[in-house]
Amino acid sequence: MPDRIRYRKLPGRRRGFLRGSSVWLGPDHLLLVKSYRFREEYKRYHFKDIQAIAIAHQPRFHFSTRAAGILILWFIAFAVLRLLPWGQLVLWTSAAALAAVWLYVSAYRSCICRIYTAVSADELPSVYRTWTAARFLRAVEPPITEVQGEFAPGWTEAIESHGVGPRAELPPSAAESAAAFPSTDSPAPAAASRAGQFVLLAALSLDAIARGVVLYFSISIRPLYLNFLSVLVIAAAIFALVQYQQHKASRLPRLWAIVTLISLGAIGYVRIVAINSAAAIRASATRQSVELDYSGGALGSEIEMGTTLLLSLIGLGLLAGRDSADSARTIVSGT
Amino acid sequence: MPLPDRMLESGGAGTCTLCGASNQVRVFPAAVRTLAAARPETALVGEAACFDHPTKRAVAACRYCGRFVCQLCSVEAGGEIWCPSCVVSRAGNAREANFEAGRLLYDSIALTVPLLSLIVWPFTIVTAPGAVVFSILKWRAPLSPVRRFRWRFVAAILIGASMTAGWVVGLVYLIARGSATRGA
Repeated sequence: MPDRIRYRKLPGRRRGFLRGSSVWLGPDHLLLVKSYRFREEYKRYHFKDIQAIAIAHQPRFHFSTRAAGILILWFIAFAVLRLLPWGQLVLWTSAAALAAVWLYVSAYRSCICRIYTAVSADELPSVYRTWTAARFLRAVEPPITEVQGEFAPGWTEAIESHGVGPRAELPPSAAESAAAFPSTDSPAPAAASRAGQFVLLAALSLDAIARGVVLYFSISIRPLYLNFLSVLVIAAAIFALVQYQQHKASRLPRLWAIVTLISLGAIGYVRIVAINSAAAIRASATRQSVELDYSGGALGSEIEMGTTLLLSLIGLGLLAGRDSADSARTIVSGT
Repeated sequence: MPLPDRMLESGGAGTCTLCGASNQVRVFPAAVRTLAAARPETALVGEAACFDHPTKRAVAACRYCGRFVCQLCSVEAGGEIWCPSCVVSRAGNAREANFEAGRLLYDSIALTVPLLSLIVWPFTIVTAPGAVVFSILKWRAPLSPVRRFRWRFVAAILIGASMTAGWVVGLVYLIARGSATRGA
């Protein structure tokens, strides 16, 4: 029976690298599917139980796999067209336009969608753009209205008396338990939560500065020292992840550390594959042995330096954001 | 967290007084009905009572075991009423109530593993035939409820078989070349 239910896909799909989400229309319920690559989790909302759907405008800077595909296409175009006379202009103009569109859509055309029942108020991660939310509402309103019928007279007073969604108040026993066992999301002591971020930021900044000095000031630094800096960055990222595991850091620094590790790994891997492939092609063309040069050329160094610089700036932004949030919290608690 | 009342005032669009964001809310009649419907009524003398709550009036009988259930205990799925015990034990047709909360996606595993192992390609000597065998073994395993076709299994078998064939051809070629060199 479960597999015989035919679902129709509703507008919106969240495509993440590790996580995804979508909502499907069943005969008498909505099915929220959260996918974690090799596993899916399901939650069903029967039409008769849905109390409200709320869409709140909110910036959502989600970098989807589709956006990553566009970025890869751009990199391919960059590799092919950059030597043409008009290539640089077209490439950088298109990059700026794509980045501007993504920023505009993420900041001003994004939203968060929640579905309310008597016992739950869940976010629908797949509905995160305003135009998708409008289409989603148009698709789900008719079947819900068909099952629930029309409002009885005086419904506004009834809602005012008990509200919509699950009750916010906890029973005394639950409140006591919550006090006895604080949530893992509770803010950690500020110094402990930022140590990992500071170390990672310092390592990334050092790495970016060293690579920038080598690139633009023609000062030679032994490759051994640059490799040591890379190892330092990896160690700092692992330290930040360990801090998260010990509940001493929040989710954004963890994401930052993961992105740092993946970026460095990907750059290193692509660089080695590219150098080896180029050497193999050269060797087969000239039929002579070719010496491998793992410095990777100016383009590789620029990409490496740019990535570490970007990651440092992101880290700086995270720390600054946390600072302003902390001061706002202090002001609120002070008042 | 309940929906703030101010968002319900217009029944449509509204502006949050805290952050200034413009919000849109669509409220449905269940917002008014749910509380009244879920409150079981007290059974009077001579009336059928709930099996688990003897003081509450029964509103239905379980489709499978026939136990009387009150409003609170009745679990409706697929147009039929079940008691909580039958749903938990997935007895009889109660398994059709379909309360499955998660599922492992064998077809995704079968397709992803050989492709991912291309990153360190020597591993494909194990993962490629492994993907073929795994796909055949798990062919009948349930898919995601929203996936209708087993194309991932088919793709995994094709990719795994191609990689395995590549390994076989490559090894045969190396062995043949080695024996030819030794013969010369």
